[in-house]
Amino acid sequence: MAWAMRQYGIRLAMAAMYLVLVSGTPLLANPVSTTHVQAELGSVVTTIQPGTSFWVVLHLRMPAGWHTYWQNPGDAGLATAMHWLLPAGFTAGDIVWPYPQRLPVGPLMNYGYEGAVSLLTQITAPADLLPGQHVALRAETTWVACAKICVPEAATLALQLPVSTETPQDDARWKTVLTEVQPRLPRAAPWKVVFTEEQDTLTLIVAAPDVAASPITDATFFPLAYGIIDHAAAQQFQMTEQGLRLMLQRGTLDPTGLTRIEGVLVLHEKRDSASRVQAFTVSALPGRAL
Amino acid sequence: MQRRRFAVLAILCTLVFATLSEAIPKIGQPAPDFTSTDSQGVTHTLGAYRGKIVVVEWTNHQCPFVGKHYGTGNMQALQKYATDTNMIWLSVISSAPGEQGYVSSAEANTLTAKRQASPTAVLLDSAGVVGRLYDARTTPHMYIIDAQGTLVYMGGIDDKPSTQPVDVQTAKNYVRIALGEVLSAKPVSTPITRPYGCSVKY
Repeated sequence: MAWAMRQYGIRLAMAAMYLVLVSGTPLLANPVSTTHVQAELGSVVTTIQPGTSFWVVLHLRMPAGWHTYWQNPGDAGLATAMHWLLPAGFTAGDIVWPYPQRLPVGPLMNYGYEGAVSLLTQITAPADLLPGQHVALRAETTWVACAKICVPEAATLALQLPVSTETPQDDARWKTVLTEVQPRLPRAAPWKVVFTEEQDTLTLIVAAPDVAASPITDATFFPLAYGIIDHAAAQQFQMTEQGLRLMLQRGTLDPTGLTRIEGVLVLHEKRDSASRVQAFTVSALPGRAL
Repeated sequence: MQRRRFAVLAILCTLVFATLSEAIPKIGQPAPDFTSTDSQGVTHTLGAYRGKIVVVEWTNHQCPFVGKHYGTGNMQALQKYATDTNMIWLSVISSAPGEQGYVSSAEANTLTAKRQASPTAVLLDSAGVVGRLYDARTTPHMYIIDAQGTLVYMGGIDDKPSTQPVDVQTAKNYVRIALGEVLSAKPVSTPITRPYGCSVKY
């Protein structure tokens, strides 16, 4: 009897250990709530098919009045960063960022997100991955949450997914998150964009006759690099027959020899009472005024 | 008529003010002069330090980015290097009253003692006058002025924008490199870098 009890106890312990290993709850934390942010990692697919790529989402939720940062945080703060710890053969792409908001702080301007943000990463599984196993995808994630004050926070998030040769099914919840963020993801600008240098300004010239007729109500440029433009300065746009011109105040870096200005151009337009926002990645070359 | 004249004058004043306030410091140009009072009640005028190399450091002891550099002794080591080589080091606190990092004179002195810091002086700029004059954005935000009074460096302390203390070991310390170059009368190789940190709490 005592022996049976002991056997039962051992089995129970083994079952518990098995559960820990398989479900991974105690080992694989997700979501993680820090003092200021709830961070969660989600996969858009429910299974991993060997040799394919799929999207995972880092979803950060901030309390009212708090924000986290875009890849160029602007005048202060720090971009959210992910360091992936993946099984052999897996690779992770760079973070795909939705366009940010301008967040003024006194005389300064930061670029980031309020409320919540979904940052995407494309993961590629190796072709020789054996089906039937579970794979853990871990990411050491760091961010700085700021209201008036800034607090650096971190979490190691993890996801566990089964491997299957079947075509992956969508995860309903994370597919919805992906669909919601998609309109905010910049796409490559379909127009030629050049920049000109003036005394204190840089002008982005977008050769987009198709846009010229659009009821654009606002245009904002977010540079990828520091020092190109004065982040806080107002940006003035002008519609011409050839497209759009956006006047930007120069930043602290001397633009002499500047060969390219990269960033995200966000255009707001209003048709009837419906407003629409579109974001484009821009890589502007030095050029002449059109 | 009188009123219109006043309006024109007001607009002109606004324009002049706007132009002045946007005259941001430029590398290779004379560093904007200022006068400010330190935590001992002593007045410092930048122009009076002509002939010496001056380092200006924006700080806020409650900012985690500042914490990284003081917690590891990185900032103190830089201060010691500067003052040991006859340079002037001015730490500036531009936090407004009630904002993070704002301190009284006594608190500023306690912080200096406790952290074994060795700046020449800690300037109390709670009105943000010097901060705005220098377009200081972050804590830390570092500036170097050479012996001729020319601004030769502005930007970050190093190239690892993080709050991780361990990064101090591997970071390229732009300020130390620039100070070495200025000391040996060489041009500063990287005169402008991204300052990183908390926003200055104006």
